[in-house]
Amino acid sequence: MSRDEDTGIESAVISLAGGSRKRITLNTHSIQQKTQATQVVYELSEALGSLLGDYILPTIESLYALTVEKHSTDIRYSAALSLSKLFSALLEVIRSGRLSATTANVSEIFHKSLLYLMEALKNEPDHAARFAQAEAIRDLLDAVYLSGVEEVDGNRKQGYVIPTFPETLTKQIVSFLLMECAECLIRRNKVQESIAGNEALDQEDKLQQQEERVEEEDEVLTVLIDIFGHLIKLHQDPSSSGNSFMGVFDQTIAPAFSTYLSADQPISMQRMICCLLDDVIEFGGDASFKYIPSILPVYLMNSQSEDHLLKQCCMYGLAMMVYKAPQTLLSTQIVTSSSSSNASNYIAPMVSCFVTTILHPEAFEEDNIGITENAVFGLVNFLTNPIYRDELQTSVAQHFPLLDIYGLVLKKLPLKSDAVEVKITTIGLCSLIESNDPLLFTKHPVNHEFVFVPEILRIFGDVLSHNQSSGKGAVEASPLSITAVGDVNNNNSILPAVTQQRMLMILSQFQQAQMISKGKVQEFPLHVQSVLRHYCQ
Amino acid sequence: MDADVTFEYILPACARIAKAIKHDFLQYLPLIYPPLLAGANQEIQFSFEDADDDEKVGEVRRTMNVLFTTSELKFEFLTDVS
Repeated sequence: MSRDEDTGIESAVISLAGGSRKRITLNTHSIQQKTQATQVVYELSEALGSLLGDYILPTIESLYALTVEKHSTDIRYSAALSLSKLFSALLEVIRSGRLSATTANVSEIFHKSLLYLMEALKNEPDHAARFAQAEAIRDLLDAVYLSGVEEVDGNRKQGYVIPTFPETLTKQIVSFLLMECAECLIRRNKVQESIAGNEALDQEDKLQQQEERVEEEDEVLTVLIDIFGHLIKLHQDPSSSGNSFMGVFDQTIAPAFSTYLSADQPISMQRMICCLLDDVIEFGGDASFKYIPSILPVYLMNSQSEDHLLKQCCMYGLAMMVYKAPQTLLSTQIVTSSSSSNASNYIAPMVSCFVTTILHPEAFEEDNIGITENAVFGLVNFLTNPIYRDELQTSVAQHFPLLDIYGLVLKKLPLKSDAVEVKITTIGLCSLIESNDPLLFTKHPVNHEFVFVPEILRIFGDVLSHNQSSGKGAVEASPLSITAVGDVNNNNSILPAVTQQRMLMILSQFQQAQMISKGKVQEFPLHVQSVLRHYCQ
Repeated sequence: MDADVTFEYILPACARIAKAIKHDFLQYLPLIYPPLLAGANQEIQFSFEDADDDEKVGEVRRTMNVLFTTSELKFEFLTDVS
């Protein structure tokens, strides 16, 4: 073995099977510098994002080759993460108007980045790098989705900085992802077999090793399957409830994964598939509703699962079905072995599932908050869509009086964990108020005061005070930073301007009708009182 | 300045400072970007060829395994070096 200290070139002679001898020469010094430089590129991308401005394009250009750098895992790892960060930063620069999409040639950058990352992932022997590359592909698609124009319910169907998603590219990505998923599953099975067959290990070690290595494969698989969800999001028809990706989903993705929905499959696999199906229901449009009759009973069963994450994603899926597919829910009959003469739909079991979840003694423990909020979201969707009203007043009211459900739901609002849920529940509540819903404006039989108006005021005050969003799925509390009336168009607001205006209008009407009791307001938390005082002087 | 110091200490320190001071760091980007991209883009010299008759088989350090786990070479080295 030799080393040249000046150039950093190291050389070694090795013997290969069959007796041949080879000399390997490598500039390890260059690899080290390249690795450190790529790591710094990543840290700068994360630290400065779109502030990097003019440096973004030349850096992206350098990163392509680094994502497939064959001599170092560390370089490929950092390059993949940097590429998605910088692409996201580039879209931010374009959206802010500092650069035009055409000048930046952003479509070409998007395609090129995807192709390089897929190439890197295809050949990657290292688990950590594979995970980073899969995440980078997912983050590229997410950046495109987030560059779209946000609608009132938080969905983004149009206005993406990348205007077109060529069909050939979609097909290429899908077949690549299916192949990668299959390889993950093969590796997963091999790990289980090889450890089970290793007699040198005792049972406890075997289980631990198996768990760790299967978890590694599951991590990658989760991201790969999540990418399918992102493709569904990006193929929504902006002018209708169609989705051009659903044909591909029906033909290739659904058949490949449907077996993993079953209760006898590993929990991690069930979780991944349920998350994917949640995306299908949320973004797949009308063509996705045909899956509801087969998913619904499984989701209801999973709502009793011991696994928090599985329970949470199934609860979200159920709530989304209520929001997106009312006609399908009303017409989906419970299949029983007996005669179907008394056939009923799933509305009552779904309401029961949501109510039971919310009333659970541990409903608001940290691990359960996401599950409980999804259940509240489901009930709000039932209450705020008039199409369900007959069903709620007949089959459901026998078990759960509607007025009790109103009280239960309003006590748990506003939601805090998921930005989309906050938007949709607030819109629903506004609609219910604007339609003068008789149950919402129930009067107390003795003092004749409106029973739920104080709750509405508290909810509005709380929502209006939480005006900072910290990205997808999170609502950061900033109790004393009040959205002034003039700031209704504030881009950082969790709620779109149009929803805020509706809320302010309602508050104003309440004030004119003298429905706001100062005594009640004084019982609210301080940040809610401040907001209400600000708007209702 | 010694390139090793630049890549091992100066540039990572700059990245941490950038994280702390954000916008105020932009004025320094013209100074750090040229060496940074030059470092990231440099060619890596590598060869894999028949050894001369007088060259003896040397000890291959374990670290070599890491360096050569590439798609191109992983099979040869992971099976034969160990």
